[in-house]
Parts: sequence; C-alpha cells; structure tokens
Amino acid sequence: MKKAKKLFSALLAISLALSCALAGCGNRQQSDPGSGPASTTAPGGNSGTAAPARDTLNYGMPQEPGKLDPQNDSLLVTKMTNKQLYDTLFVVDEDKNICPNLATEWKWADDLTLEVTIRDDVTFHNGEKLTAADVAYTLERCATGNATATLYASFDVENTVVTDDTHLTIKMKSPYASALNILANAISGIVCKSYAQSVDETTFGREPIGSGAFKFVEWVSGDHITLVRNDDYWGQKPAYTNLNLRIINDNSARAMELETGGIDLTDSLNIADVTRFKENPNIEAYTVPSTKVVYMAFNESHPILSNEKVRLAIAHAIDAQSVCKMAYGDGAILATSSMPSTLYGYKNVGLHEYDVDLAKQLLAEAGYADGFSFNTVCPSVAASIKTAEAVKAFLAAVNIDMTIEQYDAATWRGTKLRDGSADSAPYNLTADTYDPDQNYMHLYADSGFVTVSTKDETVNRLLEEGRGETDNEKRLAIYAELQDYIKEHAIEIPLVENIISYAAQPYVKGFIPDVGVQPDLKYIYFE
Amino acid sequence: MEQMKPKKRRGTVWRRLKKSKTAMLGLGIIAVIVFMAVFADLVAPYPYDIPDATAIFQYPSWEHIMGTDDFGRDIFSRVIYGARVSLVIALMSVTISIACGVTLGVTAAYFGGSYETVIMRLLDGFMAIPSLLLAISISSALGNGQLQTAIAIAISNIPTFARVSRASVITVKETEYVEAARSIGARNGRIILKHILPNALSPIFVQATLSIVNAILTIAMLSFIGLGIEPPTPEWGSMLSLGRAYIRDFWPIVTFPGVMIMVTVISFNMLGDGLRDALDPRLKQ
Repeated sequence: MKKAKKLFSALLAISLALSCALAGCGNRQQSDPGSGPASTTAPGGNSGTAAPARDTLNYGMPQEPGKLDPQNDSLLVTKMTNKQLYDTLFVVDEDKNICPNLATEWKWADDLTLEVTIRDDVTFHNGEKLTAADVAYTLERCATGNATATLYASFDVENTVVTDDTHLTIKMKSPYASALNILANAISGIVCKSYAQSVDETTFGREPIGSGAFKFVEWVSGDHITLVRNDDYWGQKPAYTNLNLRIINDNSARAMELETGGIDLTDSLNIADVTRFKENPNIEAYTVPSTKVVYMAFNESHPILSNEKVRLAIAHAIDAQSVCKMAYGDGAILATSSMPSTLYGYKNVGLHEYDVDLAKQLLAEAGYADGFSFNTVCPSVAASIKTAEAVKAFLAAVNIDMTIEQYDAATWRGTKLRDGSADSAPYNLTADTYDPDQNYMHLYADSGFVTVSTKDETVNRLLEEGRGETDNEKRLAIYAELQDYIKEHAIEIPLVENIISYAAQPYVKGFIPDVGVQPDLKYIYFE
Repeated sequence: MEQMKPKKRRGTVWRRLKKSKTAMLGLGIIAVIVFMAVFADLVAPYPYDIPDATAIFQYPSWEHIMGTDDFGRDIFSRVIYGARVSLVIALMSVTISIACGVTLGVTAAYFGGSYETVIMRLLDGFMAIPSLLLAISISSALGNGQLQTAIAIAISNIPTFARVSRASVITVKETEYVEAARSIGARNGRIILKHILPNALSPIFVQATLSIVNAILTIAMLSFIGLGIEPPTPEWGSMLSLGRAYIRDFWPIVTFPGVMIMVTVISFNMLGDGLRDALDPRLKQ
C-alpha cells in the first residue's frame, strides 16, 4: 500500500514537472512572433550586416479587429489596420485639409456631382490593377455596409458612372458637405472587386487584399496580425519590412510590454502610465486631443427625462470638472460644447454651471422635488463605469437615484442603446472623419440609437441643414446655432473631451500621432 | 438518547476545534470581519459612495488609514462595506447550493434506483462544465445584482454538495439505527431528517466552509470582469478591477482590497481545515 502511494506521488510529481516544461515550450512558441524588436529577421531582408538592422515594427493594439473588411467593421483598431492595408481616394492631413491620394484630381460639377480622376499606376496585393470599377464597387459596398451605411446615406451609388479605367462620376442624392471627409476615412478603403466577388465574406474579412503600403501575411486570433511591406506600392514605401500588430487588451500590460521592449509603439494607454513615460527618457510619450466628447445621453421616451427642466436640473447638478478629475485624471479635459474642440465648426458654448440649489429648484418646478430614479447603461469599460459612478454621486445630492447597469461593449452598442431599455448612457462617438455631421450622427431621430437620438425638430432641422450646406460661412453658423440649442435645452450633457495617448521606443521616428487613433505607419523609420 | 447524542458530539467537536490554534485564529479573524460587515454603518468612518474631488489619491494617514481612491472615497470604509457584500453573497450562495445540493444528494442516496442514476448523471454533466465558466455564463444571463450573483455561484456549487451528501448518506443509511427506525415503521421523511441527516452533516459542514472561500473568490472574479455587483457598491473584486489602472502609481487602491480577499480566504481555509480535523471520525478516540 505504502509502495503504491509512493509510486503514485512520484508519478504525480513527474507529470507536474512535465506539464510545466511543456507549458514553457508552448509559451515560447507563442511569443515568438512578437519577441523583441530586433528578433525577427525579414524574409529576403537585410542580411550580411554585422548587427541585424531593425526591420520590424511591433505595434501594441488595444483590441482585436472583428474582421478586416473596411465597410463592415467600425472598430477603431480595424480602421487602424485597414489604413495600412487599403488606400482611400483622399487623405486628411494634420491640419484637417483634404489631400489627394488615389484620386489625383476632383471637381464638383454641381452640388450633387463629383468628378474624380484616379491614379493609373496602382495595383492590388494580388497583382490586379486598381481601376475606377473597383472604386464604384467599393461605393456600392459602402451603401450597405454595417460600418458605412449611415454615413453613405446621401450618396447615390446606383447612379455612379464609370467613364473609363481612371475616371468616374460620383453622384449624391442631396448636397453633402462632408462627402470628401467620408471618402478619406478608412471605412472607404478601396477593395478589389474581383477578389470580393470570388471569396465568401469570412475569407474576405480574414485574408484582406488591398492596395496599401502593407500586405497581409497572417492573423493569429488573440495574438497578432502580421503585415509585410508592399514592394510594389505606388506611394512612399515604408522604410521597414514587417509590421507586427500585437493584440494586448490590457492597458497596463501594454505599457509594460513597451517598457520591456516587446513592442515599439502603442496607443490608448492609461494616463498614469503616460505621465510616467513622459518623465522616462527611454520612452517617447505623445498626447493629442481626440475627436470625441463624452456626454450623458438621455432616452427621450422616458416620461421624466423627456422633461427639459429635469434635464437642465441634471446638467446643473453635475460638477463636470470633478467628473473629469475623478474618472479620467489627466486623461481628459473639460468639454466646452457638444462638439470636440478639434472639429471644424466647434464653438465654445461652455457647460451649465454646477449649482445644486438651482438644480433642486428646477426639479421642484418640474414636480420632482422628491427625486426619481432612472437607469444608465454603460459598457464594461473602466472610463465609462467611472463616469457613470461620478455622475450618480452628484445626482444623489439632488435626490435622483441613477442605477448603473453594465454590459459588454457589443451588447451595449448593439442592443441596449437601440431597444429603448436604457434611460440614459454615458456616450461618445469618435468623429474620425473630422466632420461635425459625424459627431452628431446618432442624434438624428432615425439613427436607430434610441437612447442617444432626439426627436427635437430644431435639432433635426439644423442637422439636415448642416449636412447639406456647402457654403463654409453658412455651415459654420448652422453648427454654432446647433451647439447653442443643445446646451440651452440640455439635449445631451457634455462632460469631457478625451485625450489620445501614444508611447513609443526612442528609436521610432517619423511617427505622426493621429487624433482619430488611426496612425499611418508607413512613414515610420528607425534611428 | 437521540436528543443527547448531537449535543454531546457538538461539545467534543468544539473541544477538538479549540485545540487547533490555526482554526481558532481563522475563526477569530472571521468574527472580526463579520462584525465589521454587520456593523459597517458604525465602524466605517466615511460613507462608501460620496466622492470628494479634493481628497483624491491620498496615501494612508490617520484621517484615512487605508488612504483614498480615485474618487476621493475612503478605502477603509469601502473595504468594510465590501466585506458586507462579499459575505452576504457568499452566505446566500452557499445556503442556496446546500439547500438544493443536499436535497438532491440525500434523496438520491436514500431512494437509489433509477432516480439516483438520473440525478447523479445529470449532476455529473454539470460538473463537466468548469464551475467558473458556468458562473460567468449564468451571471451574464441573469444580469447584475447581489441575488443574481449568488444564484450564479450557487448553481455551479450544487453538484459538489449533492455528491458530498450522497456519499455521506450512503454509509449512514445502512447503519442499524436507521434499519431499526425503518422496522418500527417510521416514514421516509422522518428517517431522512431525524436519523440520517444529523449523522451525515459533518462533511457537508466542512464543504460549506470551503465553498464560502470559493464563493468569495468567484464573486471577486465576476466583479473583476464586470459581472456581478453594480457600482458604486464596493466589492473587493470590482475595487481591484477599477483600481488596477493605478497599480504602479498608487499602491493602496489595489493592495487593501487584495489583502482583504487574501485574509478572508485564508481564515476560512484555516477554519475549514480545523473543522475537518475535528469532525474526522478517524481521529475520534
């Protein structure tokens, strides 16, 4: 009996040791693609030199893309990846000016007709030539795509005319001031018509073929996406060969990876880490203002929240400055309008003053002196939960009981904000086309986002006018009026403007921090 | 006779438990935590939910012995209220799983036959699903809230209790006093409740203390991933989760809730170990 016991313990110990050893092997294998900035040698790259030259950029991505289909996935990480893989007709420069890219010339024949000439020397990664037919096909996909349909509502894609391989005429249903901005966004990446038609949707999203500066190599779910330089690229070719996009969800883990050299560049770090990196001479930290405002959105069909006085009371009851400090630390600045200060058309209208007595008075006037309760629905994201927590604490001071419900981000956006069950939500939208129409996209009565949208006629009229106005002065005036109106009637309650952070190894040069978290990585070089 | 037996046994168990220093230390710590949880309103120096923008990220001082968090709330007060949440949910979940698990296990063992086969195979099926995964799925289906979380954890613990109680009842039901009771015509209910259960309780009791430990850890884990407790109700796991962004710059925010989880779990484990030794029939003289 004793012998058997001994044998059993010995076996157990051996199996434990073996499993540890095997686990160790597995780990090493897994971490290979991203280990060390200089560890990966380029296929056919620089050889023969004494020290291996840096030829791989390891980028730490905060999330995994759903599918690399420009028209069907609106995640920021997808747009960031697609920006390297696909080309767009236009690009927006640092000063938010529209610049040519695939399009060499363009002209508005009238308010509804855009004539575009495209480059003649562009090929897709599969060797096929990029023609105007591919552009027209992409526009067709845009009209129905999950990520694009709303923004393309004004495009009349059925009547787009392809004149020849390099000329096409894009038609609009109604004048659309932000058309070029939308065409410059990563969601409008030009796809290869023959490839899209020959493979199923899953393959198209998992093995993308674009015409961008990088070609797709492999995608290991939960770990990394590898791209390689497109040596046939028509524009400026990247100075390095491999682009390894490592998926590291946890912000702190990403910061540590950067410190230990596992990644060369990353975005969206915790502000505490950014602050520390700014004092660290071995790491380059960047912060740029974002294109989003975090605000409290209210469901207008709620019997009490539909009352303007109640919303104004809430606005006066919240000390946005404290919310900013508590929920974001140095990671955000106080909002000054329903539009971020980085956007065209922004007007500093200021926030409602923090005044608990006035809030109580307004509630009493509305007939809710004893308070009431409503729910707020937020995604399981620390910043959103903390925003809701801070707001809840301020509302408790005026007898309003706000309950907080958490859901995963997909349920939150896909169901909860749309089915009317959420009375309110801390909401934000990244206006990465740099156009005010996108910033207010979900405010439209028919946006489908029941908790965010408004049926207010003035708001909807101003939104429509702003979307269609092509005269610069008039358009600015419309958005100024809209921002005043939103504040006056507390349609939404702006709280903070986010700050976007990036951090890089000191040898990463040529990096342009993008306010929309979609940096163009082809300009990077190592020093 | 019947009345005397359990009482006498309880006395011996307690005497034996008292001899174990670790078990008594565990019990002492648990008593302190329970006291703090019950009288949180009196013990906690500050409210747990009122933020103070002027007192953000303060290190431990006489004013705030565990410092303040990112909202300027007193961490000590939140840890105390957090104990209440953790213990209430843990007790609720263990109660639910004992009620269901023991009923199923005892009846299965007592009646046997195809009833037993069906119940036990069904529970075996349940056990094949990792309990943590099961708790996550149930919790995401039921939504946030204390009762929902308790149910989610309870369901995943039911099979364990059923198996433990079944094993224990199977040995007891063959004893002579049970046979005697049956032969004088006692009904099944009476036999189970009066004769079998009291004599089969020891392993269930030990399992309960260990399950509380698991429940506390599971609650913390569920809250950590955003299921479980609704903020701003302090729960140790959610305090860890929301504080982990500051882990390298402000240690008190994660250290104290983490230490509390550790201390509570170790205390329950020490008590559980002591109880098992005290109740183990092989140690009886």
